[in-house]
Amino acid sequence: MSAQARERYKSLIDQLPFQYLADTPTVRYYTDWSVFESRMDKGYAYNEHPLPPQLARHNPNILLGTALRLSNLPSQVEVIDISREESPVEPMSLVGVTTKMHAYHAYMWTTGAYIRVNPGEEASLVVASTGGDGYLGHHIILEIGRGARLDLKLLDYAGSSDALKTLVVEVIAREDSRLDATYLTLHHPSHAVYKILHARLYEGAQVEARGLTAGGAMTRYEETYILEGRRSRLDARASNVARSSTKTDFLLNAIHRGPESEGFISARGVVLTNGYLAQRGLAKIDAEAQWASSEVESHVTILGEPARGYAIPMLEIHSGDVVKANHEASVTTIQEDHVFYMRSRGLSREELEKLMITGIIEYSGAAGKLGLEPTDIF
Amino acid sequence: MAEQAVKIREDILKGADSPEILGWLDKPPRAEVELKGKITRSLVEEISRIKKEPDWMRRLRLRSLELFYKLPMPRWLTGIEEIDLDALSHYVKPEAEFTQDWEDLPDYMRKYYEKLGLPELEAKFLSGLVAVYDSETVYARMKEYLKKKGVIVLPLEEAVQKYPDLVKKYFLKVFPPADHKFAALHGALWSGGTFIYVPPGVKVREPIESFFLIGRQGEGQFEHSLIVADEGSYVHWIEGCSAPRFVGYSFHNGMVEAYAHKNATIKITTIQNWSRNVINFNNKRGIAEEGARIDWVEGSIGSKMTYVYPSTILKGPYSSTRSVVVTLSKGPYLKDSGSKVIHVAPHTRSKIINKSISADGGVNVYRGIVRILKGAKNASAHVECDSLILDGKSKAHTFPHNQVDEPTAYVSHEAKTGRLSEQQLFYLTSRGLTDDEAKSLIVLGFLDEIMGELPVEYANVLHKVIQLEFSELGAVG
Amino acid sequence: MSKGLEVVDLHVNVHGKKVLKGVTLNVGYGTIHAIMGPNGSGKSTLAYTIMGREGYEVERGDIRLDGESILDLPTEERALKGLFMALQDPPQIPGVRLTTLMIAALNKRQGSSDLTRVRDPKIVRRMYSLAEELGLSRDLLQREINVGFSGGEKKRSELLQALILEPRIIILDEPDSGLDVDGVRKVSEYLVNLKEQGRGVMLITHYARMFKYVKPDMVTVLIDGRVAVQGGPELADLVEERGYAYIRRRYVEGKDSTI
Repeated sequence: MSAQARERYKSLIDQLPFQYLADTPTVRYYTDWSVFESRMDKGYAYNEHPLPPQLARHNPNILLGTALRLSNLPSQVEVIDISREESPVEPMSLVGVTTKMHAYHAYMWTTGAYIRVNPGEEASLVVASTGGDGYLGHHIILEIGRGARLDLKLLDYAGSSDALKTLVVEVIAREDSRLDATYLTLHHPSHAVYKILHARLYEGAQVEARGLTAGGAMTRYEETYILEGRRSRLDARASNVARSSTKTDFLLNAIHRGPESEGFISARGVVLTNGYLAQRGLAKIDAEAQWASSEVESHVTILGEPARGYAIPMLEIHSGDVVKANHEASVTTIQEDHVFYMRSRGLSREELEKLMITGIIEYSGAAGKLGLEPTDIF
Repeated sequence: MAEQAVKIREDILKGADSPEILGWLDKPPRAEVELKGKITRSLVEEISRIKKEPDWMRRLRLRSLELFYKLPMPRWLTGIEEIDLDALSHYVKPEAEFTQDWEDLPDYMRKYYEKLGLPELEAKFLSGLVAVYDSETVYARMKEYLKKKGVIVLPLEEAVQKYPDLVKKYFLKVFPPADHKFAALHGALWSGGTFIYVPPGVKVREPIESFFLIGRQGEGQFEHSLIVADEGSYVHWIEGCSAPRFVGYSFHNGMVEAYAHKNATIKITTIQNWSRNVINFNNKRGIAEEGARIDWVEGSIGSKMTYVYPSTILKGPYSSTRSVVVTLSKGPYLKDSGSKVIHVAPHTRSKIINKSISADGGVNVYRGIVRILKGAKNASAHVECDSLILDGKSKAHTFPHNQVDEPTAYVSHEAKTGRLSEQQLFYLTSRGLTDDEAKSLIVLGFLDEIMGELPVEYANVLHKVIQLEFSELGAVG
Repeated sequence: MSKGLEVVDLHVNVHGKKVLKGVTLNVGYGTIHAIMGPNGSGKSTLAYTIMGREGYEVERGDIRLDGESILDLPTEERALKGLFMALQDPPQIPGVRLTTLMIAALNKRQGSSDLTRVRDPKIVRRMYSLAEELGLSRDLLQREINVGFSGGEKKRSELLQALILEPRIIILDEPDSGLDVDGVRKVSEYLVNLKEQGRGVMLITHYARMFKYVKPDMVTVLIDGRVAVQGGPELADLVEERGYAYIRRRYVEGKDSTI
């Protein structure tokens, strides 16, 4: 990115708001922006947190910390260090720069990689991003060439520190490509992280995404898929855990622009004592996305007190020519009849809670693919 | 309701744009007072002076005006920029004195109400009737036996004079003007409306209806209805809105405040069919004390744009609410609706049902909130949103917010957006129905459970109106 | 010391209302004991009380397993001692898969502290083969408990759990409701198997239609929270032929002594 472009973003940091409209009259903002605001002038980190063993054993091919490090890169994949060299795709060109945090990231980010899977090739990659005792900003651009397949493990980790991290991942899935993605978002309860994953799917592209998120002091994580091309397909599932004294605002969005595109987005979350989880999902079908189908699910289980759990499943349908557009949501806790049922099988209330937490962690499938046990994220 | 009355109501509802119903359209009746132009302190003072208001009310208006100046334009509203507030008539006093006898009204007005079948409806089905014309209440009466039981049904202005302490206790307390800019504007300019008070233990068996009419273009109507049900009482209030079609738009910014004391029940039914150039903004909120219940049923058919969010604060334990909203946007019109419930106390329950139909480029938006505050133990809420879209050009958006701060609460939410399918149509036409008949049948089937919520006389009317609305579909679709 | 489940002069209040007013009966090993009665007679209350559900308050009487009172045990301890109840309408439990439940329940019975680890792959194979026999798909086992299950699938899943957990006493609350004829026959076959394996079966049912396929060894008819009459399989035929009104007149009110 050119120096001028960066300077332009710098001036936008002050001009742009965190968000334009309040979320609701009752809860004005689902993200606690004050946490970010108070950490925005921390200064850069000089260290990076080593990945914990349960993540390190996946041996990342691409590791973003204070610098970019590559190892055993498969031959089908090309990587450019975009903190040193020009990126073939301008950073933030998919996301756009419309808010304060966009501008902050665009100006501040420290380490970046452009990753390309060449057309028609098949590859597996492990990409990791880690935090430090100060600001770290990572920018990843991932281009999956026409007809290529990528099995991606994306590990986003931030260790113990009252610092701020930003991570933006821009994904371009070219025609008929396929991405099988497993995401782990594991932030220490002291860390604040602003994260965007923004993917554009061209005609016939398919994405299967499985995520597991355990946020930090404030984790704002927006995962958006633009189903740009005809018959592009998305199946995204997420498991969210709001551990004690953490706040997570998780957004999972499917934006249908291509005709006959199909989307399924589903999140399950559990909130433990002193936790906060807003779990939002948006299915938007644009007028030109005729005969698209989209489903949104958002279920939150509260297992602590005090605890706050918000489920916001949204539908924005701009064309009546839809196959289907449904959503369902719930915010619940363990019911007395659940407890009796499990006890009549010999399991106590505590064991039921444990099973539910495990069930929600395992729901998306990310934990299984990464070989993680529930204890690995607590 | 007698056939004739049903017929006329139907005409009014279906085509607020049939001027022949209002014989006087070519020569609009003269207003006694009309206040237009910039919304200033002196304008507000003038309204207060004409109404001979006590000082506390005058000050309340001025305080609201200050808030109106201060508060920002709500930015999520679309289309509201079309409203040029300074060009509106903010207060229009018709040339008619308030009366309790139809005979006292000016001829044109009486004839109009007769055509609507209101006097007959009042005699047969209602406990009381209030008629608001432009900015003033022109008629209000209730059955004698209710008077004896201490029920009050009055124009709000008169209640301000006669029962100031009672009004003061609730007025702009349920819905504070500081909530948003239009609530503040309403607080400053309110005029006309209904005050209903039901004493402890009294059950008002038949509904009380208020009928609101905008008689001219470029008019702002700011009527205020305040319904108070004391301990263990019951009242059903029906709000019917209509406006004939004019060139140029009118702006409606009414408010309903409902207060249900311990174990009381308030049911509020609204059938809105303003003509296609009315921008309709509503402020509706109720508070339910222990064991009380507030039910909203809203059928929103007419207007250019409607913004309506029936809201209930469940303040007392075991209080409950049910909110049923049906919106129809057929043509280039917008309905922005959504029920809001705030659970404050334990064991409170709410149910929200929202159904929308979009056709011929119509847009329906649902913005709902279920907020469960900490301490509202074992509160439960269920939300259902169904949208039916009849063609490719029409839109439906659903933005539900389920916010739970109380771990023992239970909230569930479901929504479906469906397209009228070719297969459904084929099936019905293969049984001998025309396309239009098939469509109206499907629409009515979609609304079936809502119809059950309405008093049968009103459901019949709505049924016919919808059939009529959809009888033209074939030509467009 | 007697073997099996004994219910002795059981009086139970539910939410302050007297529902059982003195019920005595036994379910011996290797026998099927049918509990019949009209709606509201207290059949389900009896089952819930035996399992120790909260809110079912024992005012008087005792419940014993192999001669030992289980009244003071919480529900899960009763389950671990070998009681199992198949619910009439089991709840949906989002977040927990059916396989997870069965594995956790088995691990618990084997004293393992890790609830979810599969200790013996044979058990998974057994689960799948039993499910197949019962007409349940593999996919269904992976679903969350009862979420999106049809009425018939819920019944079969309850029975599957009974077969996997190998309880000593099995209480089935209306296992036939919502099943078609083939389903009823299949469930009946399994009940006979369970009995032949030496387990005690308490079969709660409103109708006698199951008895075409499974002969009860004992029949108890409950009316208004009391035992109206106890007898052999012929009692079920009597209920089928003459109905509960007749049973009430003859045995409760003693008005009609002719058959």
